[in-house]
Amino acid sequence: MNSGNYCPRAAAALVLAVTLGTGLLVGCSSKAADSSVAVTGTSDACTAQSTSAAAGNIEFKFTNEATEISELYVLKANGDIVGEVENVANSATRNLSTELDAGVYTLRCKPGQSGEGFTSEFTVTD
Amino acid sequence: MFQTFLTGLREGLEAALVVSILMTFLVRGGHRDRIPALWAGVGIAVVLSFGFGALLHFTAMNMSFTAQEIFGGVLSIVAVGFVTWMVFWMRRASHTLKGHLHGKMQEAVQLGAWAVGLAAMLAVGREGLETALFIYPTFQAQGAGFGPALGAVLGILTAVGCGVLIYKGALKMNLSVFFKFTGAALIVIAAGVLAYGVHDLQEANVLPGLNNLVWDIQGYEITSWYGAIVKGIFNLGPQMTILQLTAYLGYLIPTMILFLRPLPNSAAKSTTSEPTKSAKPATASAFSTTAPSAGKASTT
Repeated sequence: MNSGNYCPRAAAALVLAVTLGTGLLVGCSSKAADSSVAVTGTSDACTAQSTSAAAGNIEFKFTNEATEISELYVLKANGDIVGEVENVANSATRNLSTELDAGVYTLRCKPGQSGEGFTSEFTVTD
Repeated sequence: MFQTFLTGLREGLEAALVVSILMTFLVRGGHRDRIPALWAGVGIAVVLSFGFGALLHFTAMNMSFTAQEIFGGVLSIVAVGFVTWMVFWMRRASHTLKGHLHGKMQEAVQLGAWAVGLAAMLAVGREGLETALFIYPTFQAQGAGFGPALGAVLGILTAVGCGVLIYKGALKMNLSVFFKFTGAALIVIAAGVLAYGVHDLQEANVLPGLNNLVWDIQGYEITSWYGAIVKGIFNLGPQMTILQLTAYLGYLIPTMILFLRPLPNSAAKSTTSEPTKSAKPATASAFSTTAPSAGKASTT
């Protein structure tokens, strides 16, 4: 492991950095949300201000009103996770933006970040 | 406030432990000149995490869920590969170092600055973004005042404090115990990181089996104080998928066996030159810093 081996290793590190950087850029977007839905999680419920929205880029503003740290999941009907935000402290608000096609989704709030949490249904219309 | 304190503690513990172990290794292994590289790595990771986190939280920029999970998963797996390589490098280095003669290290195996910096950067950056995205909203918590934010910052500072304590403790350890202990600790931490990465990739649907749980412990809350410590250090949560556990044990057991196996040639070549004091004949002698006047330690 002498200095003579720096080049190939530095090159490998650089390739990794470029790959990660590209991945980040590709995975990110600056699209403004088409609609915004406030979701409130309490110690026994997960309530959205409105239960439907039009298809597109939807921003869920999740406010945690339970005492425990909470997380919000947006799930498709088959259980696939479309979006999540974790480590949301009491009284904190985190935004979860995701593109949703028409369909029925589930919002799941998990105060304490374990167990089943509480759900409510959310419909995305055409 | 206690809740955010525990979360900050949980998020910071793993990185603090890895950085403090690296730091101790640099100091005890005679690689003090790499310390700036270590802190450069930490600094870069913090700046990148909090900078990118600020973009995601305060602007309209957002990262798709799948991209986030793939990023987290891949970075975790890369970190595991890298830490494993470092652990085995440390194992060889402790064995082949040709001793201190008047403090000269020219025959010592050199540890590249890039390796140290990258290890520190991976350790901190891995959960850095998640931590940043957790902290920013606590500063905006309406109606809760400064409590949540203060708790979060104190949690992270406590994690750093734990790292400092580990550093001070590890400095005093017997040298061969030190190498075994820190290497084994890193392997255990890496196994947890691997399980975490697998879970991220399962959430992104890159790997299957997200809902095939091997355990689902009711009553084990990661938001409790013991949960913060266990999850923070070992990455073992209340739920574990089958694939996660397979990866965890599949990594931990073989790697630990390989790491703990006796070094080749270790017992055989005890001091061939004049005997030193009743030093241990094997691994520790190579790194002994207590022999300014003794003859060469055993060579291999």
